[in-house]
Amino acid sequence: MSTRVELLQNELAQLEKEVKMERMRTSETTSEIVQFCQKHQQQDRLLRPLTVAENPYKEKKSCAVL
Amino acid sequence: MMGDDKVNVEKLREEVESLKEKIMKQRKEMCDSTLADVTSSISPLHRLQFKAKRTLKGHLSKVFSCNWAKDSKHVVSASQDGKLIVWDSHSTHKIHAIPMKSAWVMSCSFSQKSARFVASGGLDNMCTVYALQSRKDNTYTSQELMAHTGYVSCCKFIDDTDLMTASGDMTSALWDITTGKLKTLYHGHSADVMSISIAPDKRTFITGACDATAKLWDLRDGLCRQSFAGTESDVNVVVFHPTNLSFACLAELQDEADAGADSCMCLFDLRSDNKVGETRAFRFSFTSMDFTKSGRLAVVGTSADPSLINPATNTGPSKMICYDVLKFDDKNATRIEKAHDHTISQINVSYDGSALCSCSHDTLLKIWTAGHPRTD
Repeated sequence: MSTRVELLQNELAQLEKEVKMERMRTSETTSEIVQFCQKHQQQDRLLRPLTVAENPYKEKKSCAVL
Repeated sequence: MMGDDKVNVEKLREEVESLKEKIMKQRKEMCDSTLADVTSSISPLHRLQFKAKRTLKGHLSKVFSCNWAKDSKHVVSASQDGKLIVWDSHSTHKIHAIPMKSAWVMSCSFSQKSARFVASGGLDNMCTVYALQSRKDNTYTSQELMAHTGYVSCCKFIDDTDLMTASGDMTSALWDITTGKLKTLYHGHSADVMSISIAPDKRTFITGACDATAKLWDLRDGLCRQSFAGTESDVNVVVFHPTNLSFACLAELQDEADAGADSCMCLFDLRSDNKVGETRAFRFSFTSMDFTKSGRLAVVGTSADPSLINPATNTGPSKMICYDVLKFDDKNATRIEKAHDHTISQINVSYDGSALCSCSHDTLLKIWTAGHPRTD
């Protein structure tokens, strides 16, 4: 069981690492996210109806052979 | 000495607070825009429509979790009825109905390389892996992964040999299922870890916990790389974005008499270490979510609408809300009303991105695909 002091020391050690992080600007990083989404949107099969060939859930039309 | 310890604790606490403030300042300096700012010139998504193509009936009680196999055909679900069911989502047939030792299940997962294994975890403090090909009558060979001292809230396969768990004992763990041994234990959260999401490149993972933070970890070296604060209370769900550069979380909000908002969805950007989007739910909670394959859409499941709960059955309809991730705009989100007759517990997009599986406390699973907005 960690003591209160130990827990705080661990937290401090972790924060000392995190404070050193080199952060980028959100305007830069978010534009990459936007580009990715736009690039892959066409192939995103939940953003457009599936073609008959792609759709394993299509209602099967049955032909009655008399 | 008691006195010395008290002084130590105070001093450490001050140092911790001062560093936290420093980090907040550094983040703020780098936050020169939100995602919505950058996308103001992008046209919103066209109108969306989802159709429930299949309903998977068979569980006798609340379904708590569901997960697609890599073949985008099989789905595993876990229920309070004590069963893990593996379904063929195309035919709706039950391929396996595995009796679990403990019915107190919270999460299930399908192996991510082949469809050979499923795993479940819950209040028995362990994660059990079942070999589907080993079936003899109705029993399956299983491997119990034991080391946690608290409940397993979430289990996720990385491939066919490695699996991760999140636990109420405040840790998350990486397991080798071929040996049943713990490979790495990740320490850092100060409260129950509720969710885990593995990065698309499988080098890192995110956890969300009741200490109101989400953390980014390096899978190999076991170290916590970043901590994300900015949610007021418990983080219940975390999901990596397909870009590998951001993630979303669902978190509870503190009770505020005025605001009335109960939960929120936040989008965090890894490299700027900032929150770049947020949307709130009023009166109901966001319970589950997943991204579509391009990352453009976030589909969120909700709890039963409190205003529509039938007092006789104590159930009420829930909905799915589809947010355009690039706009994070509540007004233009597509709402699928009455998606289920009770709280939705999980939403999972298939590996090939063509279908969505939802599972609910109403005992059902539903398979959804995109429909024609005009006709369906």
